[in-house]
Amino acid sequence: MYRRPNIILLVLLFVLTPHPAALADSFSISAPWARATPPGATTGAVYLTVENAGAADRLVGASSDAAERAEIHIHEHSAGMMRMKQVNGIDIGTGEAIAFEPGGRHIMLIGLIRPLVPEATLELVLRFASGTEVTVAVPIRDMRR
Amino acid sequence: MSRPVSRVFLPLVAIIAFAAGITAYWGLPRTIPERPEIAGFVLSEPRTLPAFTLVDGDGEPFGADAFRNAWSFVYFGFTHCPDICPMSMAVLANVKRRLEGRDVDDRYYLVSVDPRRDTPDRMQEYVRYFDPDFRGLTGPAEELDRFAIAAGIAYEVPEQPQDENYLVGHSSIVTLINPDGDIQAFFTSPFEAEQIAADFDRILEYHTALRQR
Repeated sequence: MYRRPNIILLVLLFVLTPHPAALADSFSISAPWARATPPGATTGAVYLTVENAGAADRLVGASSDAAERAEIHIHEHSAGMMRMKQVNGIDIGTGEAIAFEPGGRHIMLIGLIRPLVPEATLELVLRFASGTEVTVAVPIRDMRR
Repeated sequence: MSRPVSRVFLPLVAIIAFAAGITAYWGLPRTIPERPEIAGFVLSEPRTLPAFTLVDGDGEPFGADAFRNAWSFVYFGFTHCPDICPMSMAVLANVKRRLEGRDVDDRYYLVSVDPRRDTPDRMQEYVRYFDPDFRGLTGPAEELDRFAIAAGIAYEVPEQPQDENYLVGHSSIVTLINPDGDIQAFFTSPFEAEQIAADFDRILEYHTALRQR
């Protein structure tokens, strides 16, 4: 016996479920860039500013088409050392902007699948605790000059 | 009775005061060159390096003596470092361009605090990306430690890393070694090429003044 699915219920379910694509608008990403890598590099770093116009949320993960994994890192200054440290997430309150910049927070790319060459672009996906995913096209820049 | 005393006493006071003045003048600190204020610090007594043997990018031994007869900018880091090391190397490449045309032999080094992954070949490839004249040094941990301790560098490498992608903590300092092969100054982060180049000029002046003393 085959029962037809209840269309109205399905529609309601779709409307009432928070939809990542619909929520993504509350985040705006500005000035994304990644540093071009020296030959043989297996790691890279992405910088950007995430601004949250919506409800308070938490950045909990990232991934990229250019690396095996991407981690959220902060720089810790302790015992005279600069130490990079992976963090589980970064809270971003309503109206708040969080900057990832050289010498500070950054998205670390680990296990580069291809070298980061200038003028090319990589794709970065940011994942938030709410389930929102934001895809960013990140230009690669040669910062030697 | 008072007059003859004054006649002898006053000129005597004047002579003593003059002599004291001359003595004080020669003894004044202003004959010692003033130590420049930089974004970091300058040593008035340069620090001698201990003996150590590292390996350069060609696989040749490199000892403390090899720093002689040039001004050397030395950064301790590692090639798997995605953020602070490439940033610092790019700043040093900028410093080098700013110092072009000066009558000094300036050299630039990256010393690996991660010799397990940083082979001489890997170092060579990495540093030359920033400037074809840059030099990379690596070598056994004991040898590296002698140099790092003298240069005031702390670092931390996991003893048994879980995989090849481990992280290394390290001091972010540019150590300046003078042509006697001694540590003359330290530049502290955040590094600015313009500031380091300007500070280097002050250090050169100070070093020359100390020599002429």
